[in-house]
Amino acid sequence: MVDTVSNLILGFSTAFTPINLLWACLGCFLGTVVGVLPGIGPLAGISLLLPVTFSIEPTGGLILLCGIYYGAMYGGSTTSILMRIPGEAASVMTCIDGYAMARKGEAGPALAISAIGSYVAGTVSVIALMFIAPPLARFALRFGPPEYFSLLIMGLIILGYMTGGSMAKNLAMIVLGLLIGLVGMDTMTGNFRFYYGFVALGDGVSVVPVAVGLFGLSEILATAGDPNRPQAIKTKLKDLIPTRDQFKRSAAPIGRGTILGFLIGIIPGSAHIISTFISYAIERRISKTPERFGKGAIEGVAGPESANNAASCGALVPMLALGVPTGPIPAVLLAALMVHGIDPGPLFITEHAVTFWGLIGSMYLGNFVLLLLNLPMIGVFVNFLRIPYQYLYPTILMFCLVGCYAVNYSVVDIGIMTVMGILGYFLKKFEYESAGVVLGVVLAPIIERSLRQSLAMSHGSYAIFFNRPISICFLLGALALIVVAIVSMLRKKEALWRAQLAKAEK
Amino acid sequence: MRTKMSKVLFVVALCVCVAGLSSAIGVAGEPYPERPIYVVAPFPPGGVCDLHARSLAAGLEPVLKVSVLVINKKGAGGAVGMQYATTRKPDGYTIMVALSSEPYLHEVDKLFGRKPVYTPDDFIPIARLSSDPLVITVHSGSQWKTAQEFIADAKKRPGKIDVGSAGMYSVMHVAHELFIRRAGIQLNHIPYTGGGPTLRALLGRHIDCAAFGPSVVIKQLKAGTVRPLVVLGDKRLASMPDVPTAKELGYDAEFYIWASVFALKGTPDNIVKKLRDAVKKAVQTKEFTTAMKNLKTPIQYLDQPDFIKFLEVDGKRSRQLIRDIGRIE
Amino acid sequence: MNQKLDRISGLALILLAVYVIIHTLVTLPLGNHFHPGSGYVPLLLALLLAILGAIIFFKGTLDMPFSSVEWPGMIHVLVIMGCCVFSILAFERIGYRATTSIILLVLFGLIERLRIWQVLVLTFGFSFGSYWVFNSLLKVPLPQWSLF
Repeated sequence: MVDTVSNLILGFSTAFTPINLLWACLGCFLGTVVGVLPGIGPLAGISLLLPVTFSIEPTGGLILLCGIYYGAMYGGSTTSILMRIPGEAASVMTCIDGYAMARKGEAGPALAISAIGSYVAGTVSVIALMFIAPPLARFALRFGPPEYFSLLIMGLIILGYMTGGSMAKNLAMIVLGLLIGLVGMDTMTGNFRFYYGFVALGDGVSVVPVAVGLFGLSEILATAGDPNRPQAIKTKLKDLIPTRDQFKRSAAPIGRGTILGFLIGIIPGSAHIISTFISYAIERRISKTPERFGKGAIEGVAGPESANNAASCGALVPMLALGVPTGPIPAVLLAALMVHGIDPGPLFITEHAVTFWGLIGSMYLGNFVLLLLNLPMIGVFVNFLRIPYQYLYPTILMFCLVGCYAVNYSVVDIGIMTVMGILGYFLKKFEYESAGVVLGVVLAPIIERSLRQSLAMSHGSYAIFFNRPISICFLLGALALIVVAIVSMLRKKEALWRAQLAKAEK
Repeated sequence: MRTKMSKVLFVVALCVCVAGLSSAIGVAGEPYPERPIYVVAPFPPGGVCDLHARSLAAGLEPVLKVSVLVINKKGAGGAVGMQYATTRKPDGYTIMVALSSEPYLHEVDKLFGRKPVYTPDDFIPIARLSSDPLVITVHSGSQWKTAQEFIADAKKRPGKIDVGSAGMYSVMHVAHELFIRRAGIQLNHIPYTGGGPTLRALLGRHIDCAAFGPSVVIKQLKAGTVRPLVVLGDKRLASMPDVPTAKELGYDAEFYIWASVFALKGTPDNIVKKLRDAVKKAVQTKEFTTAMKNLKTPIQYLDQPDFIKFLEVDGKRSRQLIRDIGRIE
Repeated sequence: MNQKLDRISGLALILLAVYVIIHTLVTLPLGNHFHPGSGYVPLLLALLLAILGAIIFFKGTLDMPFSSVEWPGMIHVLVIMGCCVFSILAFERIGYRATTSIILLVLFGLIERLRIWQVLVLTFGFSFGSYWVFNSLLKVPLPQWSLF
């Protein structure tokens, strides 16, 4: 404890040197820019600036690159709220209520709450990272294929139990997404599945074009020709700030989202997207007014957005503590460390104390800088909605196109987006929720791979899922949920809740 | 009024197209290079290939005096990016940094009865940047202290020891296949999706062993989390002098993860010559050497003639191995 | 065409599932329960999708007839889809700036009928501006067609 405090002082003294302060601010600013622009997420932003940092000393370089990382996380929600374009899969849930709020003239509060939620989630996660990184990371390593499988099965059951509306329709969308997610090379054998001769589908259908198509493009398709087009919204200054009521509604979702996101984030190789879905489902399940969700409920922005940010911070735990990447972005950060001559590995925290604690210090600082940077920017961003729709939608279409192309420099991705746009358009007409499709696309490869890897490990015995303590815990949890669901269904409470939702949908 | 305007628009659009076309024709005979050069890296950011490409780009910029941009185009173990490279104009403004899988991936396509998306003939070898032997590595808490113990145990219970890799027919997979074939043992293969996830699985003891590149092993070795058993190279590595080579143990198993520069087939000879010279200078720049030193990857530069000879031997070996491994259902 | 909406979508899901099942059985090795092959999980999911489709088909609560759905602005839908398809074909042939310019000219000029100076300023401002931001500032290489 005393050590941590003295180390933190060391960290702050490193982070607050003028030059490192400058790098942190610059990183946050650039991160916000790449986060707001479609197509170039944190991954591209960091890889682009990696060679630039060759000439900076390591700590400064790392501070700059991490600034881009969480800056992009903040910026990512902006397009979701204003244009309904999810910059990454994890912003899909923010699109639903965030965009609905923006259309009601509440873009200001939505952006503000998502920035504040991100700030809280970021700061709390850094505190957690600081105190319990090494033991947590060692625990996270115990997640092998059987554990992933059981965890995801439990996650899907939670979602199935908590989703509103028609359960069969929601499940059908998740299954449809899972099927789409299986397109491409089967990693266990090398077979190509459902690829119709497109080699570019070899790595599977990427998530960004699916999300952009189902949300951004389908929205344009549905509204561009509508005689009642969305009107330009003139926001008054006092509408920019969340009301006391909105703050009160958001506080608890932010707290729950943070914890949930951080826990799922530290599990290497898991899908962060599931934390945003579960957070949204929980908020709707425990809300007294579930019918407001989907129509601009601030809780539906606060929870998932905090979960998303906490997960991206949690993902740094195994990377910093053990030197193993948890996903594509930590992999690039890891590479950045190596290029700077720092060996990220189990000894990183002790051997490079100045860098580690300087980074921690700069993360506190960076989150604060981002809050200061983002709150005034809201006033600028909401002006975007003042643009009349006939000018707006061609621009949004362009953003969709370039955003999808730039992810992997592939026109096939534009094709995927186009198909998904049509699908999303019809799903809306037939009253389906398209968010489940995105979830399925992300989870399909992980679920299938972990099932088959587990069976390969156990030479075909399903006992492997019950022999391992973590795995059996998740399965028992899933079982408990099913029991609870049946009991509450018998008690009619569940039916009441669903009826409330169904009535609201009429 | 409306129709007049759409006519004007049409004319403008037409002009735009014509202007583009005429400038496209006028590029022949320009001095090289005068535009940005693109380096295709057929793997995601942060991996071995990407880091070589970015370091090379940083080294090439001061030499060629134009900006050098890296395009990461991942997919299907590198096949997507390499196919993409073949679709670009062979004017010297696109080069590629590829790994050891370049000479054999099309062989995998043949196994599955697919039309290969590229063949090695689509590329002109320019130079090799680095070449590191793979190292068969186990967890430090495992029962095997030496390669002999490992092999003896594997012989006792064939197919019971789990080996991980970065994916089917990845460099890591082909390397351990070579080793187990030469050592006469059988392992249970569990493919992951990249070197990072495989390392995670080894540290979490979900697999027993895997063939890693030395740069990965070194940083974990210092913390005592892993134990290298055999080096699949022609001599011991300076960074781990106690670890024997497969040859010393009596197995003829050599496999390298190399990163090399390629140009596209059809690139004019004088431009290929310029690229060769530029790469030769780039590998000596401070930018490139420091980056490689920090990545713990020794520069093993080979110029075109030597590289072609190396590629022949290496490619023959890996293609034969792919045929031996065969199609896995 | 006066079927209930849920009947139509349920049937569509069943048909999709049947197609996936046939495709899987024909092209992919199934393996067995203990060693699942490439086709195992797709087959399982397709069966599940067929069941869900059937539930929606028989039990669907959305009893609006198909004819009650409005399809406003089909012209816009078709034009926007056309723009997407055009960009797929054109992006790597004539480059980013030419493609976006043509799409924006069509949308702003022919569909929205803005004033000519607005069309030109918006079109070329956006396509060249965004190209500059991506290509020059952020070094994200977009396809180019020599000078344009």
